[in-house]
Amino acid sequence: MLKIINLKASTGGKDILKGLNLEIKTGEVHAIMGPNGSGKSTLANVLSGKPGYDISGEINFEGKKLNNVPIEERAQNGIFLAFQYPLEIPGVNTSNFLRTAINSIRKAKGEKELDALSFIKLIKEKASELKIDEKFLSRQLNVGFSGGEKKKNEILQMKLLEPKLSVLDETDSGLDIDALRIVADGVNSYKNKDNSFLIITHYQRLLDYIKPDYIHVLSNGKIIKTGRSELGQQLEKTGYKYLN
Amino acid sequence: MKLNFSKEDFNKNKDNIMFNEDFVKNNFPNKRKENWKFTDLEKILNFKFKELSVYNKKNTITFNEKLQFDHYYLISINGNISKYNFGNGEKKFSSSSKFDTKDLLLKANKIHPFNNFTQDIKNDTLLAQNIAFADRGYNLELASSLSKPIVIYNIFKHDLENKFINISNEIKLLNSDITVIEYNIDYSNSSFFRSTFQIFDLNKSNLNYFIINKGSSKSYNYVRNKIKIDKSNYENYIFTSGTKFKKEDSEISLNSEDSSAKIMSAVFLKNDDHQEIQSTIRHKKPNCKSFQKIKNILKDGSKGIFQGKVHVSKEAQKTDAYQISKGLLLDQKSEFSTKPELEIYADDVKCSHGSTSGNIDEQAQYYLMSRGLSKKNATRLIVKGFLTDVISEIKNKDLKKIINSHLDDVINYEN
Repeated sequence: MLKIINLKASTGGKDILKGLNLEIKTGEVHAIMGPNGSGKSTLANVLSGKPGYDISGEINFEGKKLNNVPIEERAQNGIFLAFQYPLEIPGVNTSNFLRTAINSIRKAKGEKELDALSFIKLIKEKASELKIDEKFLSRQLNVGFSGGEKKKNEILQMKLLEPKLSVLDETDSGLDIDALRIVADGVNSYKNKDNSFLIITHYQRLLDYIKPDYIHVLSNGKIIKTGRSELGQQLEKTGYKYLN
Repeated sequence: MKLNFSKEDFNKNKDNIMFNEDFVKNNFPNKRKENWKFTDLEKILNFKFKELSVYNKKNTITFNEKLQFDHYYLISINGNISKYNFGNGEKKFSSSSKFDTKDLLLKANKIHPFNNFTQDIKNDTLLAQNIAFADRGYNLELASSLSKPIVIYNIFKHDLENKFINISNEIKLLNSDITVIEYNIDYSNSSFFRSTFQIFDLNKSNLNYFIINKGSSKSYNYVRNKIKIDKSNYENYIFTSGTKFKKEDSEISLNSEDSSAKIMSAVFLKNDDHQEIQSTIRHKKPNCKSFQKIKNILKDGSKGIFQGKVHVSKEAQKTDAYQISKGLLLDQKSEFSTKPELEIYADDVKCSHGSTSGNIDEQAQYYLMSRGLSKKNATRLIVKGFLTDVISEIKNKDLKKIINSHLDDVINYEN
């Protein structure tokens, strides 16, 4: 599904990713761990098409080169990034935004747009799965949401937009234990053999709930170690130091 | 620029008035006057018009594009009331029009409502011109509440190129709670100059006054409002996107305790449109409130201006006055200027003001696009969001819907 070859990314003259290779097959869950500043969020941003990076190397998504594909087309093609810091957008009604988003993607896929009623039915169902109070849907997008509410809102968007590849950028940070479980359940209930995940996290905690097939350690812009899920537990005990 | 008029265009009562033809002809205000520092009317009119001729035709019209909600209405064509409907079917308006209730009076203005302010004329060409030439407008008096809003369909039609239309209106309310919607529709496709002088006299009443434009207009509009508030609440909502040029000056007096005034505006200016709102709110008595929120979105070298002055007299303790103006600039060519002023002589008051202007939040744009929205749609959502807190102040659901769809039209048409 995703194949990254020798990816280098810099911003403001600073090299961040320095030749990263990664392959995620359909149905796989990959986790990326690594110290602060190692380039984890940059990788997530670059995959989503965030402007402001100079890129070389190759990103292939479902066999097509992704490097110059605009942000919205990546989303329409099935890439989803759950933001580490979801933006607050004053005046934009959450429900209205979600409907615009889902219909943008449906339209791009050549599917019929959802009418107001079918949308409401769908959104209520998804919101209740994540234990999101319906009142949130009529509030302004992320404005005044708690950290946990923002992250749940990201997962709600993921479940609505049904991406093929979901990149979760530190979705567990700022979550209490209950919220973490709800978010993890949300991911697990969406996970199937046709979609893939790239989970960026600092902690083993999330990976206790969402079992990755592979764990990669990113350090100084490169993947320096790849292992099965035991690697996470090992890192939790010893920290990153022992790898160096 | 030459101003054309004949002796007949002068109002009959001009003998009462201390001005002469030469004064009326000349001297549109320019930026040397403080209130006009951001809007040099002389220069703007001179740039656009070689000459302006006083418009004196009165027309009638059949109009079938009424808003889809339950309301009373007046139909005005080129500033002249032509028809009305206060619940007993549409009737042709004439000076002898009768109404079922003595609580309602609608007539054409015989005496200019600003006649009592002629001492101001000396320094005020626009006032002098309006008094000299205003030959149209209405006088609406109400002494009880109406169950439905009144829409004033303010239609402009026919060839108005290079015309100068002078209108004077008066609304007097006593024990009345009403909503008035001025719905401007310009079919004329002409560049003309419209000058409107209005008096609002509120006594133990609530007036919600909305101004909405349908489509766009090449016209140049100047509006002067004098608003007298006694034990009353005045709310003014301005949605005049699409007008080439507009300056709306409001002088508001809060004349007795427990009164309030509110000015809210949300406009999207483009194609070098120029719009200014200038307000002076005088808090004369204690315990009054004023609230102003002005939101401008600017594009294509347009100019938005807000000059808001709040004057609190010594007597007006416990005044609560607030004003905020915000500009969202969608390009480098556009400008948003504000001049807030507080003049406070009382010592126990709550007065504040704020102003911001900035560009669109690119992070927000990116966030929305990462959910599959095109840049255009992401921008639209953010732009609409910027105006939302003005819309959310509207209590009437029908109106909220109408204004929402008006703003959607304005926003979706552009960018």
